[in-house]
Amino acid sequence: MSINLNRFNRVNRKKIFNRIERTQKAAIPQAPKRPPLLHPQLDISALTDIFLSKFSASSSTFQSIDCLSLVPQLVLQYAEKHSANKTLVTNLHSILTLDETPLDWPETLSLSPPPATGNEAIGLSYATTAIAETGSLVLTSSEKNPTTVNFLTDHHIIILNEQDIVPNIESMWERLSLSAGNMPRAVNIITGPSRTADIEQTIQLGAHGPRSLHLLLLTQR
Amino acid sequence: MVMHYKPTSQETPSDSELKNSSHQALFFKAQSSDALLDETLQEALKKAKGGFIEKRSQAIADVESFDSYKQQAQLVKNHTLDHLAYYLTQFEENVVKNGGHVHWASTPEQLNNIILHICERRDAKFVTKGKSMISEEANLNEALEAAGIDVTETDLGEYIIQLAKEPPSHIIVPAIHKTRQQVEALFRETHDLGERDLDKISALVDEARLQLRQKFLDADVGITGANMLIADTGSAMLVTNEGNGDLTATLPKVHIVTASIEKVIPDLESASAILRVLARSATGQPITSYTSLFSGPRDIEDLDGPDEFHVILLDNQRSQMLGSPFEEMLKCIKCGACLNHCPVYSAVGGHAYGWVYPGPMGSVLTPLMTGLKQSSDLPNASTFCGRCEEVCPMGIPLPELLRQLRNREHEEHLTPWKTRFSLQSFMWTIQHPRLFHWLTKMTRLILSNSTLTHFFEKHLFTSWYNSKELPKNHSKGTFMEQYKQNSKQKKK
Repeated sequence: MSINLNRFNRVNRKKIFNRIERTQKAAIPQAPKRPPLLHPQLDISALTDIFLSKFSASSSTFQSIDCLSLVPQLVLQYAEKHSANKTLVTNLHSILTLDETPLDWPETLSLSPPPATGNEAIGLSYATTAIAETGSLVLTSSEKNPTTVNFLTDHHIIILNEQDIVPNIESMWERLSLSAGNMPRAVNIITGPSRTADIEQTIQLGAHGPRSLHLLLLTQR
Repeated sequence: MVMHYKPTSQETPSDSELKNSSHQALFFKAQSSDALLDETLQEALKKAKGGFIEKRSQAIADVESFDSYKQQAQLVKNHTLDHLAYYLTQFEENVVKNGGHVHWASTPEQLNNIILHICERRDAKFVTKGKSMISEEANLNEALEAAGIDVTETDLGEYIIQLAKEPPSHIIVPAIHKTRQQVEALFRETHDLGERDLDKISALVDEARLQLRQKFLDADVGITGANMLIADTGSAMLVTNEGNGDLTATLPKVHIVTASIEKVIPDLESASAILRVLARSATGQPITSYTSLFSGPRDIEDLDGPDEFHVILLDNQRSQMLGSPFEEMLKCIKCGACLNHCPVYSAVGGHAYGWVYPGPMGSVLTPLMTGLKQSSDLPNASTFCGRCEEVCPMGIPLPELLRQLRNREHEEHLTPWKTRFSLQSFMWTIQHPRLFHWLTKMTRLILSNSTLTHFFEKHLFTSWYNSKELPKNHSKGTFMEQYKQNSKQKKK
């Protein structure tokens, strides 16, 4: 198969645009104005409650914490309860608590650096923001938050700062303020564990990704 | 004046191309008869029945105004289709800005050629695929296999039908026609299982997880579809529940997105409006487990992700639909609600439709993409009950589009001679009132005579009257006779 891909693309692009432009008055006009869209409005004073009720409805669980220093123990507890294998993959092991003390990781948890390989039972990430309307956590790929941790582990634990909960999907995009040329490779809006209903329309958790999703909600003291 | 859509001759697929794509839409009638008699299929369809309808109506009842959600989503699509050239150009520019590549394919064969070219350049041996209806249009798996590339579908439903060597029978639940026993048999045939128990659905899902996990890790190239393309950020948006699409987009060295040109929308705000109706209409979820945005290859500091990102945009007749009476069809977001609510689809399943898109949306799309001549039964595979239009989140007038295709069929002399003859005789008769009145008189006399109706039902049109009865008529006369009688009495 040897095609000159550049030439091939140029020719096809031209053909397709010719056909489209046959029907559209201006060939490539200046930026058209999209009609304004309505956004669903939520009770701002109850954002956390709305978020948590939607989040729980997606077969996910949560715990509130008031200090990051609790994270290692809670991760260990979760691992002991859900998995025989106590390996943890994360790039958050070195994050500092508010009073700038490093996290104290128990020796029973074996930490491995990302990317995830599929052998680690637990993955730990943090959510950049969360959507109350849908109960979703939003993770953006970065050095601290590699995407494989979200999908290759059996159990996924995510830290969210309560202040980062926004009302609806539109306000989430606004919060992320994304623009071309400056995009994280992946933005994952996660609402519950991996699931499938492909066999006899019976819902099963843990199709390919995590079998469970657990949130550690960092609240203000 | 009704305008009729006609594809230009050079863009219409040739007969040999159709043969290659194992096009079976011509045989809807025979296939649907077979489907009705297939007990296993009927069992599977019975299990599926109602589930989606209930979940969807619950999801819609849970929000304040689904109608207003639908309106917003339709605003987005109408606006984008009016400015498609602009948004495609903007999308292309921004993908490049993000470090990705955009390719253009007029035909499905061209799409396959581009993918083969990329695979060859990267010396790819193993390819994983997320669910992509565009690659189904192109029959991509066959093209990859012919080039000696090992390709694995990773959506559980798609994986099952790949093992069974069958096309999907539903656009969001491809293996809806398979029972758990059939899935177990397929796994036993193809996996090394020993005596392991696969009785439960959870055991089947775990077995697929185990098998596919290795495929994800081994893959050189990952191919996914896209539910939306965001012009403003140069991103592909993928909506899934299993997470297979994300693994396919993240683990291999190369990520290829296959999408059709009408999937582009202006910006992320527009995407929000469509997300609100998509999952609710499809599976009855407020949002799926994973909604992901992919915008290019890995950054320098990223620890994972592909180092190459390609988007291939397929036309396949869509630019011809633009500005035609079938433009509305380009608003379709492939949610499958029209399939789930269709009495014909529910009775015969997806395979009877013979190509990749079944149900009402397929009955419109298949003739437009592959030629009406090759799928002349499909516009007639509808009772025009109107539920598809009612549940369509994009408000596509599916029955009206099917009616237009029927018109075109009649004009192009594609309808069978029996139908044409009957219609023409009927036309001629109603244009001759005396004859018409005499015939209705005769019909009434026959229908009021039980010996005669019995003869018709049991001896003359036996197969038609297996499930129907002739109406029994005990009236005093035809409508016109009674009308005349009554007016005379009133005058008196």
